[in-house]
Amino acid sequence: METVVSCHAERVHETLPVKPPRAYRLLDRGVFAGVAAGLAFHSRIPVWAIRAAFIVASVWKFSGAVAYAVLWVILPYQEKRVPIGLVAAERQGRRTVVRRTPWWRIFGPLAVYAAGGGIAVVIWWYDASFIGRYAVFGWAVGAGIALVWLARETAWRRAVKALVTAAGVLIAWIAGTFVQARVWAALVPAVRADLAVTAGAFLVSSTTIAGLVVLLLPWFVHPARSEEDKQAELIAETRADMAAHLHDSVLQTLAVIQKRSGDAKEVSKLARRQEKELREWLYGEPLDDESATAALKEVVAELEADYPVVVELVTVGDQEMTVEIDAVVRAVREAILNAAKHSGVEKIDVYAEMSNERAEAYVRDRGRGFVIADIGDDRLGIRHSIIDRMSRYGGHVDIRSTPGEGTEIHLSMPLTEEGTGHE
Amino acid sequence: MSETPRYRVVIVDDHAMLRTGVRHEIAPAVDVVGEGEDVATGVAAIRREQPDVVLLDVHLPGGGGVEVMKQAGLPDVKYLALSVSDAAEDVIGTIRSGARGYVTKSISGPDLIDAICRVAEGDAVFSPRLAGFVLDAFSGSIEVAAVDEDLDRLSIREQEVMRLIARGYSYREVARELFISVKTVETHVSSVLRKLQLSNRHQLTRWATDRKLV
Repeated sequence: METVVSCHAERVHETLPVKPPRAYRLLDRGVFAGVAAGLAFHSRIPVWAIRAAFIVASVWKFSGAVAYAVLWVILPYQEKRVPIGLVAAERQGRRTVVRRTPWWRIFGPLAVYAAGGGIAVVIWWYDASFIGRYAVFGWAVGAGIALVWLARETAWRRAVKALVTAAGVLIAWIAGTFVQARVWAALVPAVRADLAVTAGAFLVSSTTIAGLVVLLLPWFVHPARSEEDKQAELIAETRADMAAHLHDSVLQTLAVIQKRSGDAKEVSKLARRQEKELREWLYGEPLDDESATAALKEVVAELEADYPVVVELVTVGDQEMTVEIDAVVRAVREAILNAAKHSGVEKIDVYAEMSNERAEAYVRDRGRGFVIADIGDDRLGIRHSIIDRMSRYGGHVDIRSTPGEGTEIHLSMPLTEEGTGHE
Repeated sequence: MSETPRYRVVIVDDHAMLRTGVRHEIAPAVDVVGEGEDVATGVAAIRREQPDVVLLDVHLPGGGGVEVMKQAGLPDVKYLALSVSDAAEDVIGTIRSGARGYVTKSISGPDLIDAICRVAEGDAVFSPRLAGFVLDAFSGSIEVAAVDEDLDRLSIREQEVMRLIARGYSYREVARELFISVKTVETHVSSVLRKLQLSNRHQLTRWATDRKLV
């Protein structure tokens, strides 16, 4: 008893290393760029209080808006996390994603622009400084830049993105030029006339550069696709492909097993097939779809699914599919089918050896066997599908069967002149 | 009447569920004296117990079955590879490092017991799959890690035996088919195993040194 208590006591003192929390912008929850939503989530202050603070602060020379812009650039945004299985399904095109834009994502930015305009008017009314006199133009410059930034992050269609970006640049440019012209005009009486043009040109060029830098800031701070992002994307893709495979195979089988849990034989068959498939996926050599071995494996998998048999397939060497090899594969299929139907045993051994000269296969069971002379015309499987098919391409079939001991069917197909010699 | 001796077995596999299952299956016939879940614990269990046979997974944390055999360094302990890994390279690699046989984890309980006894008595245990891998390895279709020119060719008879095993024949059936004794079949299989293991140049040198040939 005491030991249990002391165990618990020790457990309590174990602390996990805590990662310092990082603030993100939450695009999908935000109204504009997700700054306020992100800060609210991070600081646990109600979001309306933060939004109100930004708006109220903006009345004093747009300081709230500037702070918002700075945070917009600094804070990385976090996209909504999607479960890996859904990513997988989406990559395979097995899922239609209806990305419905919530109403506040459309009206939100419009409301923010309107509020900004209102604040600009208020500032213009009560503020006698330069900022006050050109508040409305300042607002327009900011609105233009904000449009460009928004277009960068929002999942609009390419054309819409380009259009919004162009509109933003145009608005910021026109409003900026107007402000520059006003400042230039104000400068002329202040400096000596011969210097005024130089000073004005300097002013225009430097503010233009500064404006461009501000416009492009997000691109510098958070490059769209860094090496790290690419790496992460690659890993995510691999994980998604794995998830897709698990979904298709293991998950489906587990579901079927649960449904048939009363049927021990069926369950073990399902588990065996799934095990084989997963093992093949994990360790098997990637096979050429057009190879003899791949075709044989497919045949075996198909028959194991349809009949309660275990086929132990061993292959040595491999060849590309030809009509001759296709005939062998089909004959092997018939032979397995025959054993599955008539032998009365569960286990069938198949051995195939492919060389450049010859394709050979043995299908063997330890079942009831039969007397070869008794193969009637009704046993079309052996006569027609195996013997005729093989001989049509110059192949040879050798059947050994002993009643009570089992059957072995040997298929041999020459692939070149040298291969015609029989053992 | 002397009973068949109960062999002492260590199971090294990183899946606890599988260890339990195998232990349960073979318990009636052999004594499971130890278990290991990775290279370190496996080597420790083998050194401590000095078992007759080790059931060894091909893929293990810490370097795999090959590493266990290398680190344990006990020439009298016999290893039987037990795996779901069907990567031919790894299976052949495990055989070349000293395992005396390879069976898949889906093997039935009685067959596994039979395989353990055979390995304990010094025979090699070739499943059809392993025989297929061996034929592939000697025909050069599988890249075997060590120098390939060192691989002694298989004799015609050995090839025949391997083919029949790959076709699903038991040793007794192979013997009947080729009109030879079961003992001779075992000799052929052991010689195939030796060729596989010795074709590693390093081991060949050691083999020769042990017999004062060089």
